[in-house]
Amino acid sequence: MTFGAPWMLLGLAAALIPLLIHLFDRRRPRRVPFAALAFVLRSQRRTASRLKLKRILLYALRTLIFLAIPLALAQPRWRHGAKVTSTRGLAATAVVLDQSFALRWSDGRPLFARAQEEARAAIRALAPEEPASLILCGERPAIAVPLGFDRGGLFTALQLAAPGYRPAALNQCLESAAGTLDASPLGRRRLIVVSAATATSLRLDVSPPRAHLANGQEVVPDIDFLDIAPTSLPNRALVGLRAEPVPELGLRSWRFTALTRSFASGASRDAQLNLEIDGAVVAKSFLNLEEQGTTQKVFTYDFPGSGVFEVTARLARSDALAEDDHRSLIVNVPRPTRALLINGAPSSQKYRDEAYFVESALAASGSPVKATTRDPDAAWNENLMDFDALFLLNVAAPSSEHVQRIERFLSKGGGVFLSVGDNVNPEAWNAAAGWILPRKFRVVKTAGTTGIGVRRISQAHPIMAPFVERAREGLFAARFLRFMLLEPGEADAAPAEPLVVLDDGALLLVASQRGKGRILFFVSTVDRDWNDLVLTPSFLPLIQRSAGWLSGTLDRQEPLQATVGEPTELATPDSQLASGVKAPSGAILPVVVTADGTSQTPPLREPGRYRVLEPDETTRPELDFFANIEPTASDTTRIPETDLKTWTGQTASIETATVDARRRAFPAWTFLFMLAAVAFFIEGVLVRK
Amino acid sequence: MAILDVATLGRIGGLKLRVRAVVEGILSGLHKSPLQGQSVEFAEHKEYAPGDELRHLDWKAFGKFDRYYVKRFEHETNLRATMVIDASGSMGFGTGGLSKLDLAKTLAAALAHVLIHQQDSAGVTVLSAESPVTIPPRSAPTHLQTILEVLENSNADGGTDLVSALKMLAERLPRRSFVCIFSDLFDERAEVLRGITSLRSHKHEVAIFHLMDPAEITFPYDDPTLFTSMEDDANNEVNPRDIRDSYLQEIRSFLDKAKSACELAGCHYQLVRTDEALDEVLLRFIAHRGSRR
Repeated sequence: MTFGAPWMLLGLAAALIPLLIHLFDRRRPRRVPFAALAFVLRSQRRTASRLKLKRILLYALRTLIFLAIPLALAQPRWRHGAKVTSTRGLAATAVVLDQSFALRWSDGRPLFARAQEEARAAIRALAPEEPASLILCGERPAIAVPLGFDRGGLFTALQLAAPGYRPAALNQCLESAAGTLDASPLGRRRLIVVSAATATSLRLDVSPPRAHLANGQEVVPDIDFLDIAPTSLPNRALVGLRAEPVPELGLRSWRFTALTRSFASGASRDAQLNLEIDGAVVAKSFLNLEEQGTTQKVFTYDFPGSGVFEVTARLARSDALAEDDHRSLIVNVPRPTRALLINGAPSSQKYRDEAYFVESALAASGSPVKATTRDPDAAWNENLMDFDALFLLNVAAPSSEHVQRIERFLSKGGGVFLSVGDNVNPEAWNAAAGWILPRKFRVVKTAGTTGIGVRRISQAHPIMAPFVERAREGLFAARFLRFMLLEPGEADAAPAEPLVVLDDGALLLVASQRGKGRILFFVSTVDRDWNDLVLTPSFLPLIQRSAGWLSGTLDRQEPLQATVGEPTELATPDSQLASGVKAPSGAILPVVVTADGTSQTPPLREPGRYRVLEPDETTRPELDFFANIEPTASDTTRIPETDLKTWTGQTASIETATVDARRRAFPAWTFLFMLAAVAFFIEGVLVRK
Repeated sequence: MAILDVATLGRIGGLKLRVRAVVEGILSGLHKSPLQGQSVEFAEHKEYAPGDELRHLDWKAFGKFDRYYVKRFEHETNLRATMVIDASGSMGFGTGGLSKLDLAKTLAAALAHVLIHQQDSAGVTVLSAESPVTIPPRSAPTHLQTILEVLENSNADGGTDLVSALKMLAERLPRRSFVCIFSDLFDERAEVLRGITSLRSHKHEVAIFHLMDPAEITFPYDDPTLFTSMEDDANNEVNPRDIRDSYLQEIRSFLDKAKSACELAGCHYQLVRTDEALDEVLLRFIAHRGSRR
């Protein structure tokens, strides 16, 4: 017999209360002279035997009440495993405790607490001569206590154990547990598995483990499978949340797609799903979930301003496994890009104006760019630091002072778009601003009367990423009559990434990095003088994305999605500056730089919001990210008892007993409460009689 | 309506004063004493024959008719009442203002007062642990004082042999006496009713005032109690709650048995609780007597 709350047994001392009252509360009777004493005597004689019986009955009933209540509160239970293990002789024993996410399922009392209780009871039931080890079974097996006789260590490790956020690797854990028993001189091996037996934790296509005796002989271990879960573990979970901007709906419009999955046996109707922005519910939706089905809900939200927002999709009514009923991510809504356009060849006729087409592209509906156009004389009166991107459109070579301003602008993280034209003198530019140029100008080339087209583009680059299939047709249809040839790259020059290459192998668009600053080099005109690109549908997205890349707003349009239990690559170009990541619990995780130069966190242990720490320990909200629970962890589908028996049936002795079955068999505390209630009722009746 | 309640009477110290208070209350409510023992009702005239009482010759009829006529009366008695007071220890019990003995003495004295007031004879016998004290019936007004003194000096103590005393009284009292017994009828042998029957067999008219304290009828005790006897050293500790039902059953059975036995023997039976108004008790008794005439 085991007890769920053994300290309640202290209450059994209350059974002495009726006796103590009987012994110490015998009040001195009042002395009363009475004339009809003969009648008193006669009455007493007549009722003496009945009274004696009544007194004994009352005493017994009250003692029973005082015994039954604390005994019931102690939750006694007959344990299956103990009987099985005690009848087969001594065995080296390994206790495997399931730490899968499903153990967080709770119907008022978490499954994991039951698992700890079962494991404790199993350890208590061991004979003193039986050595035991404890394996905590999370994503990987962990030998918490090696084989030995330290029962206190086992109980302490059990007490400190907590459920994880991933499915458990039970097969590996069983192998590992069997391995801990190898050194024991005893002739038998036993594995006690305390688990919820979910399908994601135990693979039935893998054979049960084998153990070895001290002489190396392979033996089949006894497996006592203590299934602590009820017959089913119904669960609904948010298994996905995706965010993407919707520029066609507005500058700050985003679309959120939430995926909800049911792991319950029945259908669920009108489950409420909320969209929360920074904790406030901004949208509600109702969804129907079929048995084992997935439902997608799409929310569109127009953010009131730019900034960093915490977006959460949450099922309004939590179920027994509440941790997977919501999913969050960080959305960085960029502010509008401010671009300064220096028009090197202004004209009163729009189609002849150098900046007209760029200005129109940036001013188009849904564009995240706010453009300001100036001629070269007026442009240098502007403070470049007020802008995110600088467009030098067919501008003559700048003076050294202007070059210095451009360099400062780049060093602060600004972006420069440079296009050529008749005003661009290659020698003058090379001399004045060679440091800025990704490659030095060579000479202007004329490609016949029909011009040449684009041979290839680099789709890996964020600017060019949308130009796929039909979207690239405009770009490839454009004809380039003239363009500037570039010198080959120098060894010490900053790397220049060709984004668009023409048919003859000449570079058309080159991207380069200068410290924090970015440069885009377009070696033709941005009007109709040298090409007809401006007339194709590709021109507008090319210019808008160029402005976005230069200002950095393209960098992290997709929120970083992290998963608990996995390492996460910090998706920021500045990630090398991160000194660590602060977990939701406050723990600081180190950041490691991988061979390819990206910064990576160690596997994330808990769900929630993580903050990237800069070297000065400050955080930047736009770098924050959420770690969510892996969808498979939410799958609480149970292995059917017959399948489990079939799997374990390959070994000599298996015990599976679900909590439901045990409850049906031994409702000990319910019975005790009923007994106490009946005794209380009879006591009341007897007292009144 | 009670003229004087028991509590008030209890505060009146002397028996004489108590009796006066009770009797005045009774007399003020009566026009004619129903306890008249001597009948003087004229029945008929009879012509004188030798041997008739000369004192019954009607001289007025002789003057009218010149013949001797003798007056004949319908009934001719003289009431001789004896008050029998049980002064055993149990009669000393009382939870109100008066004990059962106090009540018995007051009732007896009040009755004696009424009887002597109308020229009937009244006596008293006090039955105590020692030998009975008996004052024979007399009709002299000064006799009342003697009765009161005897009653005043009697106390409840020890046990009494009520049956033997009643048998002895039955033989000694003049025939056709009126006997009023004031007792709680507690007798271990339960033979007290046989003594009453022997009184009836000697043609005595018997009235029994069965005196009971309310506590003896309702048993109003809750906590564990050590009950001690009022006649000897016996005692008994009980939890009254445990035996209340049984006790009440016993006492009801006792009262029913006493009443039915008295009625069977042709006695007047009256249960008197010590918390009852005494004038009401006496008026009820007198009314009963009046209805019999």
